[in-house]
Amino acid sequence: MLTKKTKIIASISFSSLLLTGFAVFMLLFLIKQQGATLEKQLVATATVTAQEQLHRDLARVAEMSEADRAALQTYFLSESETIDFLALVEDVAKKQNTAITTDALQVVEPENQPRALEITLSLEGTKRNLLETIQIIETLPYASYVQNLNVSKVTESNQSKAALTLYVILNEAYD
Amino acid sequence: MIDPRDILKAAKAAVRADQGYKERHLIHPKREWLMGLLVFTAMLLVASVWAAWLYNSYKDVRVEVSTNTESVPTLQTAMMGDVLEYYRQREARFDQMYNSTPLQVSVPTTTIETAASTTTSTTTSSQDL
Repeated sequence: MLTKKTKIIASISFSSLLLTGFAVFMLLFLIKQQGATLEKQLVATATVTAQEQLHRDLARVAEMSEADRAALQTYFLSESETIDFLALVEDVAKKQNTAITTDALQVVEPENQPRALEITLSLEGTKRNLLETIQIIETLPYASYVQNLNVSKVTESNQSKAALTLYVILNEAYD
Repeated sequence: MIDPRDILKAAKAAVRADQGYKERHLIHPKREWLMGLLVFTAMLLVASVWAAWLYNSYKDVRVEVSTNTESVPTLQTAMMGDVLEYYRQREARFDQMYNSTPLQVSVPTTTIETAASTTTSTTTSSQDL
């Protein structure tokens, strides 16, 4: 026969067992939860580390190529330099004794191509001077190309005329 | 004279009396210690197995991080060198042509029908130049 004291001791023991078991499983649950958090933190750390490495690589590349990029930049015309560019073209023509007129000037965005300055020029002079002028215009130290050229001889004279469309790729970095 | 039946009866009574002895111990320290140790050992085993499983699952954690390389700008050094060289040569050629007087530009002496150029679309009038 169980006495009252025995029942109390048994109850306390059973309660202690239940509490201990609950505490143990709670701890295990927390450990599992912390494990999932650890995985997330590892991923975040690895991502940041990779980004840092990428940043260092890009910074090194940017530093190494700074001079080359600056040099390359000078061959691309910015919109603010348009007047100077036109003055240079006119100067080339005048130096070759060729009359030059700027018929049209506009910024165009050809499909799948960078923004460019479309300049339509009319040239008039002797055949030799005209061809020399066109050749020099073709070698302007800019990212430019002659898109269209139409040369004709002026009737009843020794003069030739040319209609020239020049595309100059614009540097958008500083605009 | 003692009857054998009486002897058997007395023996049975004695045996019954022995079986009827009630143990008065309320606690059994050995039994309870043993039970406690068994429960503790069982919990220790379960916890050990769990801990081993956790350790094993996190032992070889491999974090694979793939950065989006498509958006990473790259510098094609060789191409940049070629482009720079092209423009430097072009600039030198321009300077030579622009500054030289008279210009040393080869111009065909014969009548030409079409003016040669690096254009993508070049048209020339049908008249002789």
